[in-house]
Amino acid sequence: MNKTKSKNKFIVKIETKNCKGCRLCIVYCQKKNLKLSEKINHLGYKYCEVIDYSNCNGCGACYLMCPEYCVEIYKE
Amino acid sequence: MEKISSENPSIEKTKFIKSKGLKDKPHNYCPGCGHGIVHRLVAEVVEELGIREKVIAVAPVGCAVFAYDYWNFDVTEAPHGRPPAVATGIKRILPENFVFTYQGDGDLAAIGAAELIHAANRSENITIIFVNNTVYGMTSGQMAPTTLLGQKTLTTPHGREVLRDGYPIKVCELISVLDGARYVARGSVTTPKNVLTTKSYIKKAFLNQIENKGFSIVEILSMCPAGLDMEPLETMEWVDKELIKYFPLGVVKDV
Ligand SMILES: Cc1ncc(C[n+]2csc(CCOP(=O)(O)OP(=O)(O)O)c2C)c(N)n1
Ligand code: SF4
Ligand code: SF4
Repeated sequence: MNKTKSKNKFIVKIETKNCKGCRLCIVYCQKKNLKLSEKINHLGYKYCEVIDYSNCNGCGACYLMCPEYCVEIYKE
Repeated sequence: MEKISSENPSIEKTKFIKSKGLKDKPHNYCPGCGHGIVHRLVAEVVEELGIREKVIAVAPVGCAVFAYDYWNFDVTEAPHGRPPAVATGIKRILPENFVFTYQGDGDLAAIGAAELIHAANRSENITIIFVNNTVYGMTSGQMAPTTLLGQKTLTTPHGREVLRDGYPIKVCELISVLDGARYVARGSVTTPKNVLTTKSYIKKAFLNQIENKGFSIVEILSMCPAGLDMEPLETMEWVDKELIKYFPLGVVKDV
């Protein structure tokens, strides 16, 4: 492996105010990098949180599953 | 989703951002409802094909009745079960526009079965997006024509029985025997992979209309946690394990 080659970085953003806590994103996260919050949002649901922002591999599973369009993934 | 082909979701090009085919307003579906995912797939395909200004969608009676609030293109409303008839009228008058219907199983396979069959038989150049969640979601979970045998619903509290309620209707297989049906496929939204495959079916069905090939329908097995009285994840697993056994996924017809 060429160590000088910079690795792509992905940043996952969750719009927590629209999250309904269905957990469809959480079960498909390949890195097990998502979890439900302890607090509730203004809709009354526990919302999805990112555990470690640097640990996303950009697979998009959460984006593909979220019925509320809360998830966006950006490539750095 | 931008700059990503459904056949090859290469990580290098991946940039998953909300499609412009969707409005900013959040929708009112229950937690874990499949309608949101299907709306997104349709919006993404519309954007990728660059047809947003040409689209006229026909929304059903059912939980998707407010689709005009969620999609960022023209959407009209039809009486219960009649979207294929309304879409026929629109497409015949405005053949340059892109016309699709979005219907649930109660809307499409029960009260609207006649409209569906005759639109397919005439090979109207329209596209049908059929969301099969096996119950009447909006009216709180009564049996639908696609309810499985033995499945408990509000109106079949001891499970669906053949002698009383008949068999679950396999809409895709039924429609595929009609010569007018050109593209018939069944997908699901239970896993990221199935979501991507379903998107490719929707794209193919939309392209069929653009190429004037005639009637296409994509059935999508979906989750209605509220109507099925289950947790979102439980519903997703049930659709993935049980529903797919009776309603096999794949392209049923492509001519
Ligand atoms: C003519 C008429 N009959 C009955 C109803 C009541 N009704 C509203 S929604 C619905 C069923 C919707 O179920 P489905 O098409 O499966 O959509 P879902 O809500 O599951 O997405 C019924 C029977 C109605 N609105 N109009
Ligand atoms: S899939 Fe969407 S709505 Fe469901 S928990 Fe994840 S972010 Fe929230
Ligand atoms: S009742 Fe079912 S179909 Fe309707 S919004 Fe709720 S989960 Fe979705």
